[in-house]
Amino acid sequence: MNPGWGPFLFDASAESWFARAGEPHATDWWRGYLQRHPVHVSSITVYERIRGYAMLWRAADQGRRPAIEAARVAYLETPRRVWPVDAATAAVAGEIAALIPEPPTPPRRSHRLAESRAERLARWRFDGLVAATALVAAMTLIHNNPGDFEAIRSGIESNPERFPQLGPLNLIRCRAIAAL
Amino acid sequence: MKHSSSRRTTLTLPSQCLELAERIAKKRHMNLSSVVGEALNRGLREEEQIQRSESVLESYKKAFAGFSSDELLLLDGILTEEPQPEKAAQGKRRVGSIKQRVRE
Repeated sequence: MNPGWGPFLFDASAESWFARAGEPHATDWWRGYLQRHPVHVSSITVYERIRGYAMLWRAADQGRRPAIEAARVAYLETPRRVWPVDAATAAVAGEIAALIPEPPTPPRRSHRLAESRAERLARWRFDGLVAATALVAAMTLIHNNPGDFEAIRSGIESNPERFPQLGPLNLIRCRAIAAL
Repeated sequence: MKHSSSRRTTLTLPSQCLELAERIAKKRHMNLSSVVGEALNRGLREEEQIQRSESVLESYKKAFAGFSSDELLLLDGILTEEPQPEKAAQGKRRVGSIKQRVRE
């Protein structure tokens, strides 16, 4: 996909995936995109990110805290376009939450961490807000979370009357870009 | 229409570029300064874009460097509990003692 077709909205995992991408295609695409457009994100993405840095900082020992703080400052200083959760976005997110109240996939687990049901529900609602931002801004959402966003996309497609003059929700997975 | 101000200067240019610029100027009925100015403007804007994107790339690298995969999940808002190696070790110890009890 031509990066010139942007701008695109990036969800939190897509933003960090491209920043750390090792595949040459992904790196070239990211560089080409940044030459043409700013990275667009939802304010929810900034919230998730800063919460993550703050939690890591609190859990870290004194020796590691400056490095975490430097990473947080680097993130905040990176130029990007942040979309607010305004009345339109909140209204669309509310429709999404009512349409699909339960998360379509189970809580995530890693080898050390497990997500509680409450945390999973909160993340699902945040995903709804990010998808709503993409719909209101009429931007394709670049993501790394097909389980959640594909469920939202098909929900909107099956209920177009609840999303007048909006949609479809266009999605592109990070790995699809890297594979091109 | 507002015109940007001009300044007179002396430059040494590759003769190939100069010849090409002269040919374009003749074809488009423009003076040489305008053709060279337009080309330079386009090139410099492109360079500026490249520099800006490289600086964004660098900032992003700094923002996500040095974190483990679990920590990155936390930064992406996917897991919202801080990594606690001790907890995992305790969990393994508990599993070990349960297995031992089952054997007994």
